[in-house]
Amino acid sequence: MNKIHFQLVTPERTVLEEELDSLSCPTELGQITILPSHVPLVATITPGELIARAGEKEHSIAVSGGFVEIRPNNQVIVLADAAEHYYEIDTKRAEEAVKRAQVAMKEKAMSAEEYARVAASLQQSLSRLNIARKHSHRRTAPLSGEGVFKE
Amino acid sequence: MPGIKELKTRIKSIQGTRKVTRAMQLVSAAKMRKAQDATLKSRTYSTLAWELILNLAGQANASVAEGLEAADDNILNEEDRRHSLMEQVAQLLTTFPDAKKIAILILSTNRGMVGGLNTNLLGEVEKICKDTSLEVDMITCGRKAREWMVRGHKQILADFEKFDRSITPQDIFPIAKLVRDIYNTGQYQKVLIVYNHFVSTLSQEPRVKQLLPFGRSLTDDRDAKSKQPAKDEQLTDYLFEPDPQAVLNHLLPRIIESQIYQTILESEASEQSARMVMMKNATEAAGDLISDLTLTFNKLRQNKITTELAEITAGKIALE
Repeated sequence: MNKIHFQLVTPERTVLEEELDSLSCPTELGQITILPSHVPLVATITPGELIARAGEKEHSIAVSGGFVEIRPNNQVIVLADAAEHYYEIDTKRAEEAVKRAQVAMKEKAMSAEEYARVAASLQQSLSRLNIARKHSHRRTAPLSGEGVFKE
Repeated sequence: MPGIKELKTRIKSIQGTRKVTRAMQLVSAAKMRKAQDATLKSRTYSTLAWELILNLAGQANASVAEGLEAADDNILNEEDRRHSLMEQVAQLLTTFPDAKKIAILILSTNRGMVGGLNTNLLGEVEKICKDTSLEVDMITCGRKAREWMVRGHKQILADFEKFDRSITPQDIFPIAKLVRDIYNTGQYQKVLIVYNHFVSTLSQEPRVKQLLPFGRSLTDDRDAKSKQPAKDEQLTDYLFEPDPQAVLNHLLPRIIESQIYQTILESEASEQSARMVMMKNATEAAGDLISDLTLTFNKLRQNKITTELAEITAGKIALE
């Protein structure tokens, strides 16, 4: 069976580049799953969880908006504004961000533009937090160099 | 032949200069590594984004025209309908072939000591001005470009401060907004970016990139090649979700931002690399000069001692 050639890039880095069996991503119209030989498509991605499956392996990545482009030759490209693997998410920081945004939305009198920005950032941090929590039971992040050889 | 004292002061002053250039070399070497890293990492994003827009540019218009055909058939001729629709769907896809002006965004450095980087860059701008019969408006970013425009009495549309810290995508928003706004007024035929492309630590080249209307870069060979497949793909129908208008209105500004962001990163990496190399050369040249002068100094000193000795000996012989 043919595979999807998948690339997930942000302005800062390439987050994931792999051959996949399927890919689920949150779009404006809801979660879509892309299988090989999908027709060419361009869609807007909303903040949420992107799941990339390759055989048994599953990558769960938090994205905060962007685009997905499906090219004719089984190439799928996600241009994300920001993206993190679930094990990279700093739960504490995300929680703080959620609180900050909630407080700001309640207390301050804001212009419509400001409100939209805070609401968007709240949505982003909430989705990051959900993804981190969902995977917290298997938080077996790949070993980083530090602390591996230390007791 | 300079005297011993003059030589001594010269050596001292060159040593001082060498200290300064070495310090600058080390500073820019550190900055260079960071800037190069950022540039190379974000290149994938901007290349892919650019490919996407090339694939879409032609196709978007066609699919939109089709959509309208179904809606109402009795509007004027094809040409007019397509034009109005394109504007409706995405202003930024509109072209203004009859406009009288072009705008150039110039990304220069703030400080000198970067060899020919700015000179080459501004030479490129000069060439564009000479080749075109249209009126040219400048948007500058960086002190050197601004100063040059003021000296040359060019028309500056806007001047953006170039930050000495590393930039974030958010810093681009005002520039991108200005570019979009001036293009949407319909007075500009095209908007170009002139920047230094980072090739390697030792070489940077000034490049001209056409930002709007979306087209291939003027001097970029790689883009020229990728244009061919892009043409074929215009025939493949892209689906849009939720609809072309929503996607394009979201996508196009983002692509402009990413292109400006990338070119600024490229300029930054070029600047730091050029400065590092220049300062390294200067430090080495100072070292050469010092050893040369020290040799002359020692020779002179030895000469003096020999003469003095000869005089003393001669005096002694005379006394005997």
